[in-house]
Amino acid sequence: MKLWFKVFISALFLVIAAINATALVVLSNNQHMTITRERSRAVSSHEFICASISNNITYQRMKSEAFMLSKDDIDKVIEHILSQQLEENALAIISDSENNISYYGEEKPDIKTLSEKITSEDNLASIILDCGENTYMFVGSISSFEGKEYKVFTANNITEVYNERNKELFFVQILSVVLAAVIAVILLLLIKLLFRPLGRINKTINKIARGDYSLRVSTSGSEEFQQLANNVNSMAVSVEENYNRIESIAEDRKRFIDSLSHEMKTPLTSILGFADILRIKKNVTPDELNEYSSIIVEESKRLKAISGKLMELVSSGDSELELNPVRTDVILNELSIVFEPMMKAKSITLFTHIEPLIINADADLFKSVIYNFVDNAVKASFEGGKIELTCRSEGEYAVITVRDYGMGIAEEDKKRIFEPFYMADKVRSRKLGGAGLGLALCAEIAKKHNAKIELESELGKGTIISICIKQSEGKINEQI
Amino acid sequence: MIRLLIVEDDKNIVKMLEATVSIAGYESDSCYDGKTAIQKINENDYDLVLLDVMLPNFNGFQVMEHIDTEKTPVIFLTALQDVTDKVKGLKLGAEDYIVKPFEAVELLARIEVILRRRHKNNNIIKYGDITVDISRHIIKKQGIEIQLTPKEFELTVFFMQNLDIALTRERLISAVWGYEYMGETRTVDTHVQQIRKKLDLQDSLITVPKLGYRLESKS
Repeated sequence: MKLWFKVFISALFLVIAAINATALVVLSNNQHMTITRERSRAVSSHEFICASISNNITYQRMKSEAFMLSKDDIDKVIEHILSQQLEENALAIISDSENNISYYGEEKPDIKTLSEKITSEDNLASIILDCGENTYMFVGSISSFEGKEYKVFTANNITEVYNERNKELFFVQILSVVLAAVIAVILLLLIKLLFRPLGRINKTINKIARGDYSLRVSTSGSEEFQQLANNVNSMAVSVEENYNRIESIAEDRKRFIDSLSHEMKTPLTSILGFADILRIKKNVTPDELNEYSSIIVEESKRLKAISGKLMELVSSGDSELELNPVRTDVILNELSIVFEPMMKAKSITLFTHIEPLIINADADLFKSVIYNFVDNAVKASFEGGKIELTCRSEGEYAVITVRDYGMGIAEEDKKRIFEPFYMADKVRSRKLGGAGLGLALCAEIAKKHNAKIELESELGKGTIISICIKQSEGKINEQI
Repeated sequence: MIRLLIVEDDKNIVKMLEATVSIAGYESDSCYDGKTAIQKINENDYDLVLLDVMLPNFNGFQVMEHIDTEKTPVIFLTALQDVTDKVKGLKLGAEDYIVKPFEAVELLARIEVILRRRHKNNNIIKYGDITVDISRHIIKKQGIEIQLTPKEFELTVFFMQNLDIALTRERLISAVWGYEYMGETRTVDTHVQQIRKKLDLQDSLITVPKLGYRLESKS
């Protein structure tokens, strides 16, 4: 069952119950008051009749100057009084000491029931009894006329009171049905109105679930719905973020694989093509042989460079590194020996300023980062240029910087330069033996070390590239 | 003379392609980027274009959108294994694609097929005193028709189209019997024996040790 329907049904039920309960309480209260009033009316009319009889008897006695009225005279007086005083529809029953019963009025109720209910101790007791189609309020008393005991019962017809109550009850029932219908309509409209945001939220969630991750729920409606909408929205935001992240990872991977296959297949195409030509061609001139085989060697070297770097990239990406405290001055001095022939070939001067610091690193991989930095700097530098290699402490970080005054990097290349196989100048890079993987490798290694690579460059002026890595807490003296 | 345009950004591959097509006696022109390629194709009347997909300034697909592939047939060279890329290239009007890396003879065979389809190649091949009419499936020696089985005929034509090129048995099988043929390479040997005998080619259709056969040109 739908929630709005549940709310509707329970609210409607409660409202109808409340209306009926109120009506019943009011009605029964009313009835009670009417009965009380009827009772006091019946009592006073009973007393009036009894008093009238008693007075009349006294009057008759005095008039006849008898010492006592005979029973017959008393009965006459009673009959006279009752015929005069008894209201229309009222009843009266007189029973004398010898249990002679005389009835006045239209009904003759059973005297026994009355006698049982109304005893002498309970003088002026009242009782409501049904006689035939009518309901009567009986009042009974034991009166003494001329020394004789009489039981006197009088009754007022109160059928009308009950009829009235039944009419009101019927009216209340009709009213409650009409009210229920009206309230039902109003409730339905109200609930539909209040629940409208829920439907809207539902629709939007549905759309989001079907892949429209950029959709947001509108935050209107009551507070709970606003809260729900806000929560749904923050969920949608994180879903979208995750989706985009995964998508960009997938895209990166596809681009990586596309680039990889292109980069691997380009040298392979030359190698296979030329080798095949050498194999199938009938007359290969010595010049051709020389050229073709040189290209095969050159392209094989390129393939070797790519596969080597690729292996490094894969192995650095796969395993958890074992980080040990290493001295930056030791690492950099070791590398300087490797740099020397590279510098000489281009007559580049290397300036170094190295603070001995201790960092937590995998020495070989970290060397590979610095090597790549310097290698790139050499490639970018002009003949006779200079390169600066510095290591300094900056707060809790060690910053190793390589600066060249070479060709620099264009603004649009800066972002993509850490992507695998990205080469700002393909033709030149390949000529210089680049595979386009160096900085991608550096970025991967830096990530593993929780280090950060920073790049500053201006086209034609040179490049500053740094790696910032947290210093180890140990002291130089304690380490070797 | 058949003239091809080679569009490829890697200079060594360009050299390799030039050397390969020159074996079949085709002339070639080359350029290294998409923009120049469009210009050259629209200005010149090439018989066929070998087009790399990954190119600077307009990639191969973009180049195809800017040229009349009805006039100039295109074979595109791709390093991508992705089927969607192949479909894309063919939909754009390429005649064929070839995935890098490839063997020289395979490329030549593809070029040959397209040129013949476009009737740019001669349907009559002459070799010494032998004349082959490819479209009518007739082979004559000194004016007398020689009866060859269909496979022998195809094999002869393939040898004549690849003069002075050493052809491996595998290459011959895939060219004549199709890639699916799983038979033994000895089938090739028996067919070659038959051709030699029927066309009197004992001296010119020579066996290349450890490789296959080569039909030498008559000089």
